[in-house]
Amino acid sequence: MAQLGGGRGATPAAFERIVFKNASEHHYVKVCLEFQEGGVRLNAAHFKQLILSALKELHGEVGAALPVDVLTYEEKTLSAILRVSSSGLVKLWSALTLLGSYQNRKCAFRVIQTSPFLLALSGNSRELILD
Amino acid sequence: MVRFKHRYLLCEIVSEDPRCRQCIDERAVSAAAKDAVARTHGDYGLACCSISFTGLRLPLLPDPLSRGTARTPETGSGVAHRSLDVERGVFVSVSQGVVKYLNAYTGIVLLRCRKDFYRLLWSALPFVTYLENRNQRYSCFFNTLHVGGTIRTCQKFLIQYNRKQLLLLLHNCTSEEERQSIQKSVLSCCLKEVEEEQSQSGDEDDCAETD
Repeated sequence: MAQLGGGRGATPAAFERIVFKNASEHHYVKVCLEFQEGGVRLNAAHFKQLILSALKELHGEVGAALPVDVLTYEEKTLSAILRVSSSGLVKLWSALTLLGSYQNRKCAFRVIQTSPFLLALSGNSRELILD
Repeated sequence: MVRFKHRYLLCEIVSEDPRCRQCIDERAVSAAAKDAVARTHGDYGLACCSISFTGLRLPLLPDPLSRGTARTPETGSGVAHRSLDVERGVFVSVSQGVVKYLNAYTGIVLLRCRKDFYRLLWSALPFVTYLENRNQRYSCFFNTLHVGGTIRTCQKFLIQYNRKQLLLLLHNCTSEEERQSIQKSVLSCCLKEVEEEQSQSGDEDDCAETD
């Protein structure tokens, strides 16, 4: 193919093909923790601990060693934005899904949004109110 | 039809304590491997490897623990069979579990895992630090020698590896008796190869060096 192109003369290719593969280093996940009965208080450290224990249970010490950061955490709504390296997104998500209880109280993680860009989490098209 | 592809990990159990040799058996090795996988890769890793850990074991070989009394005659004959094999220097394990081959004398173990998940097992093996058998613990570690796709390639590698080890032993021996016995075993494995090759094609270039 390259020889053919060279034989045709000096006309360079008229177009340039750019392939953009999303190679972002991190993924951002917006999650919300729900308890079956209300009135459970959880500070940020305990929240992180809960995520780590979920990772350790499902994926062992390798999973617990994943770089997961809690960027923001709201104690009132129990919602948080997590940052995780892209290769660990699936592990984190599966661990959150299979988490069932915290201190013998049933709970569940809802993953609200996930994106490779933090800015994308600032708005949610599903919650838009159209006039 | 497609077959399930496996990876076979040929490992050497290295231990400072010579008593560790006694406790190398199939159950101890597979328990140690499972424990390491469960610790490093959690429930997911254990489940991935368990597909091949148990394999066909359930229908073919019921767990000896649960039916200990019913299987005593069988295990008795198994022991006799094994001791015969030990005299020839081979300790063959017949189960379909994670351990496919085990040689307690040289500490060689062949582990089997599904091809998709062998990395999980492989990366967990360095975290095995001891073998436990009959409430006795001996510290040891696994040294992975070879990763192969079939038992046959692993066997080929093992034969070559053992031949090299024999030469090393010959180099390090101290007394004349040791030297002679090792020379004898070197000769015997080379002669066997010569016979095989003569019967097949007649290529003897490998043996020219060792003789």
